[in-house]
Amino acid sequence: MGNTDKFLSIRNLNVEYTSGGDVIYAVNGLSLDLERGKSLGLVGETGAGKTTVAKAILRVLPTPPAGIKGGEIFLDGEDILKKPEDKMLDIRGRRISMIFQDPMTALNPTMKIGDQIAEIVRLHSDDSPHEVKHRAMDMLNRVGIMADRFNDYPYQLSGGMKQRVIIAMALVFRPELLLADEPTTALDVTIQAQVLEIIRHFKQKFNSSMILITHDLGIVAENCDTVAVIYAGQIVEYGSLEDVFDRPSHPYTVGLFHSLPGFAVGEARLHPIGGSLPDPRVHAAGCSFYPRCPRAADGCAAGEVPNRELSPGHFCRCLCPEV
Amino acid sequence: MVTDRKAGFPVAAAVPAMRQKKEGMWKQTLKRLSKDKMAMLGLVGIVVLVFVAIVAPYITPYSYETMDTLNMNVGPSWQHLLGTDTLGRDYLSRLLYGSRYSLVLGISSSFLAVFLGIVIGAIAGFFGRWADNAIMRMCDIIQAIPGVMIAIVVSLMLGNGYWVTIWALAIGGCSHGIRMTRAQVMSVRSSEYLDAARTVNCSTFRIIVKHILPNAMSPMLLDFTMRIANMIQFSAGLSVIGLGVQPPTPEWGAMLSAGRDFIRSSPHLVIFPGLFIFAISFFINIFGDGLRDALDPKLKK
Repeated sequence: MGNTDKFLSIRNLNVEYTSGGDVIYAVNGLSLDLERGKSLGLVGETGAGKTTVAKAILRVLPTPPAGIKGGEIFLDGEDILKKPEDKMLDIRGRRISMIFQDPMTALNPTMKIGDQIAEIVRLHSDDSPHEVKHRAMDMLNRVGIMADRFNDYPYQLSGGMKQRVIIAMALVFRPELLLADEPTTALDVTIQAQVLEIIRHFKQKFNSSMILITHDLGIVAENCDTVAVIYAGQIVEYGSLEDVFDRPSHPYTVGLFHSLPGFAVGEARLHPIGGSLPDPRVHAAGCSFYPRCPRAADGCAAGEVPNRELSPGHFCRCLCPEV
Repeated sequence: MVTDRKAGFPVAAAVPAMRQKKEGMWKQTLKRLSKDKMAMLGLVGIVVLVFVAIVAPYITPYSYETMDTLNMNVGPSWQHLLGTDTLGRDYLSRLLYGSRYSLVLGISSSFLAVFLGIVIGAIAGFFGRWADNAIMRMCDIIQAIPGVMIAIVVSLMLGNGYWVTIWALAIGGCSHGIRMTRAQVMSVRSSEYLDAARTVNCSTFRIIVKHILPNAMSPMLLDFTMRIANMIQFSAGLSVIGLGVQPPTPEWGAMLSAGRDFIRSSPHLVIFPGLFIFAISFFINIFGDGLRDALDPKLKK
C-alpha cells in the first residue's frame, strides 16, 4: 500500500458527520489501492462506512452534516479532493459512476426511464437531441431492455429491470471506475445473478475498475480480485481474494466467515459475532474491534494498532492475527 | 375469449390487464375522473361559464355600460331578463361580462398564490437552515394575520384596481402553499434518486426543477383548483369595504357589494351576483373533490 501510482488510491481518509452537537466519526484514516481493470470488494456490516467512502470519492456527501476532514483520493495520480467543483463534471457520471443499492428509490418516479438515461448524456455531451435519444435507447438495449420501453415510467418496470436501467445510467460513458453500492441487496437471487452478469460483462468490455460494496461474501468471491474488510471506518484486513478468503487473519474477518450458515449435519445454530459496532461518536484509542474480539489481549486497547503486512500484499490491522 | 379447459378460467384475461398497466398516470386519473358524476357535473358547469365568458360580447343583449335611464333599478322583466342596476344598466349583460373578470381574477390570483408558494416553499425546503428559518418565520407572521387583512393592507399600499386586487389576494393566500411545498420538498429531499442525480453532476437548479418539484407538486395542483372559488369570494369581501375591483368593471364581487345598499328595495341586485358566485364556487369545489379522489383513489375509502 505504499506508492500512489495506482489507478485509484485513497490515503488516510477521514470523514465526520456532525449531528446535534455530536461528532460522528464515520471513516477513520482509511487507505486503499485499486489497479486499473481490477475489482475490489469492500465488505463490512451496516454502519461501517462503506457508502460514505463511495460518496466521498465522488464528493457528493451532503455537507453539512458530513465533512471530509482529511486525506487524499488519487485518481490516476490526481487528488480528487483538491479539484475545484467545476472540474468535477469530468469525473461525476463520466470517469466515475455509481450504481445504487435500491432500484425502487434510485429512479425518479415522475420521469420516463429513457429520459433519465438521456439526461446524463445531455449533461455530459453536446450531442443533438436525436443523438441523445439514440444513445439512451442503445444503452437500454445493451442491458437487455427493449428500446420501446423508453417512454415507460419506473413503476411500470420490475425491480430487476429498474436495476438494469440504473446500470445503463452508470455505464453510458464507459466509466473508468464503477462504484457499485450493494447493487444486488434489494433483489432476489436469480435476478442478482443476472444483474451481476451484466455488470461483469460491461466491466470487462470497458476495462473498468470496480469497487463492489457488499456484505455478501459469496458475491465478493465471484466478482473481486482484492478484498478490503472495513470495520468502524477502518480497513482491518486487505489482500487478494485468496489471501483473505483462504487465510483470514483479522479476528473480525474470521468471525465473518464463521458466521456464514454451515450445512454440516448437526449445525443447528448460526454463529454471530457477539456485540455490535462501537459508538461512532467516541474516538477511542486502540483497536476498535477490541470489545468484541475473542483474541483480545492486554495491549489491544492501549494505542494505535499498526497495519502489518503478513505476506506481500496482505495487510492486517491486528496485534495478534490468526495466521 | 379462450378458455383453458384444465384451469377452467379465461386465459386471455391476463393479456389486457398487462396492457392496462402501460397507461400513464394522467390517463388513469382522467379515466377515474370521467366516472365520477359529480366531478363531471362540475366540469360541465365550469366549461359553460368559461364558454360564456369567451363569447360574452356576442350573447349579451345590451352592452354592459349602456344606461337605460327610463328603467333604472327595476326587477326582472322581458325587456331586461335580470333587471337593471341603479344606473339602468342591463344586469344580465353585466353578469355575463362579469364572468370574464371574475374567472380571470379567481384563476390568476390562485395561480399566483400557488406559484409564489412553490418557488418560496421550494427554496425553504431545499436549502433549509437559515433560509428555511427566515421564510418560515415570515409565514408565521403572515398566517397570524387573517388573509383578508393582508389583502386589505396590500390594496391600501398599491391602490385599487383589477390587477392590484389579484396581487393582493395572491400575497394574502400564499403562505399556505409555501408551507405545503416546503413539507413536500423536505420529504422528497432525502430520496436516493437525488443522490443519483448528484453523482452524475446535475446542477442544484436542475435537481430542484426536474427531480424535486415534479415529485412534490400534486397537492399544489389540488390547492390551485380549490382556491379559485375562495379568491372570487375574497374579492367580493374586499369590494364590500371599497377596496378591490372598482366600478364600472362588472366583476361579480364588486356588483354584489354595490347592490348591498339596495338590498331591501331591489334584492335582485344582490341575489343574482350571489347566485353566480355560488355557482362557480360549487362547480369548482365538486370538480376539485373529484380530482382529489381521482389523483389518490385510496383517500376515498
